[in-house]
Amino acid sequence: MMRIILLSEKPEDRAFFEPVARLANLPFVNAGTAESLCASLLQDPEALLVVDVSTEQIYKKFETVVAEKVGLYSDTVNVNRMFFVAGEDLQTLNYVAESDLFGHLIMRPGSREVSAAPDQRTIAEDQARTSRLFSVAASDRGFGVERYFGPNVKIQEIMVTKASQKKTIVESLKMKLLEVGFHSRAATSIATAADEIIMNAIFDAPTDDTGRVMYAQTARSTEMELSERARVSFKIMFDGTVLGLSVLDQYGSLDKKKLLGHLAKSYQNDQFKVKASVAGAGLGIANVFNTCGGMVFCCEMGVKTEVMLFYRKAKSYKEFKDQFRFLSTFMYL
Amino acid sequence: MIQVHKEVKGDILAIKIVGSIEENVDFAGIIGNITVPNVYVYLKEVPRMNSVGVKSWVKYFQSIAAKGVNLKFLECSTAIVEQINLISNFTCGAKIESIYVPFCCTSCGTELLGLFKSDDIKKINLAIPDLKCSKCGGKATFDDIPEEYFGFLMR
Ligand SMILES: [Zn+2]
Repeated sequence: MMRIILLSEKPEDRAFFEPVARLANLPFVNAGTAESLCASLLQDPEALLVVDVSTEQIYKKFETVVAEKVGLYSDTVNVNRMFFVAGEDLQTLNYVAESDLFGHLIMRPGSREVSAAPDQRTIAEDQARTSRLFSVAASDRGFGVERYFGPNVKIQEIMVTKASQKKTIVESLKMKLLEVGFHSRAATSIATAADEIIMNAIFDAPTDDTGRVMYAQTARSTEMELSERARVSFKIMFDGTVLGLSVLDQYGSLDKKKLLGHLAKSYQNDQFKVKASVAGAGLGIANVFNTCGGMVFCCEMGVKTEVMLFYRKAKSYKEFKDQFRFLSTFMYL
Repeated sequence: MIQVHKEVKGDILAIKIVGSIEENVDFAGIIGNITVPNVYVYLKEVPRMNSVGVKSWVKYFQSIAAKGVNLKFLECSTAIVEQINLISNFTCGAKIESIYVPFCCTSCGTELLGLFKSDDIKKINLAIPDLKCSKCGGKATFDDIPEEYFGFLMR
């Protein structure tokens, strides 16, 4: 039976996820211990698991029990349905980024210290969004940015058929965001995110039969007509509050381990300096992750990858920075 | 395409960069040879930068710094300040002379910018004073998180 099983001693997690389960029309169970979560999972491999991973100690304990009782690489463990919850970002949670059990990370709403007034904290809205994410995770596939929205959403789709089209798309997206009332710095940061994910889809996604990235050494300023398969679909959706962007390629070449490694890097730290000589997607995607609300990677290997970004409109940039954050990966072999 | 305005005054080359810094930028090509010991880069009109632009930036300014040129960044836009904070080697040893600080009016939501010297921000311990909104006269407060926007001053 499809249901949500929570493993967290934090009362705020129960307070947040129990209503989420109701909204998603899924039964809610509080597991209490990792052993009891594993027992439930063995009976019910379809369940969505929500697990507190706030500290390395809590996480390691959970991982050890899963390894003993179920097996880390057992078919019973479907990481596409594994949701980790923490108050920190991925950059401070290396054990999460390196975990073989990683599927999703939800940052506990309100954990970032920004002085937004309590009435502006839209917990109910965050719960509604989480419930849609859970509904998608409970389904067969994670593709389709429109499924992460309610019914009243406007959609625009653009087919990118040559590399130089990106500039026009990015600039007109920024203008549109300003028109619908996004803060100018927010609009700039969203436009840059669109720039990065479109560029990745054009230059980093295409692989040849041997799995080699075809344009790894190609300058990003190169004008290219995109073949039928190399064309990229770019979607913009807005429901008045939340903006969604989606980029879909027809290669399905995402390397999840590598991706999590990129996202967990902090270039603020001297350990990771920008190397001017190395091309590639790492820096761009890390910057996108730093400034976005939700980020979803959905990949069917060898077939397609959809990258989705979600941003809540806010009155000020400070409030924009304080938005609900999650990172999701859906991988299909 | 970005534009670069250059002016030499004595032993200082002043460079003003206008436009978004992206994959098409060729700093070496548009700035050319540096023959003076001091280079001041004015960055008020750089609205946006992508990761390829960041790489070209680091490559170019690192090569200038390696020649022993005294490098200063002035009037840094919010987009530049974000990169300075996000990337540890973005400044390539340059002194960040002055930056634009973002404000948002608490009454009408208007966005404003104020130019501050880095040294002055340090002197007031990052406690940026409010501004008067130019549109409605209301109170405009600093619109970011001090520890994040001024993070580079604490490194
Ligand atoms: Zn005002």
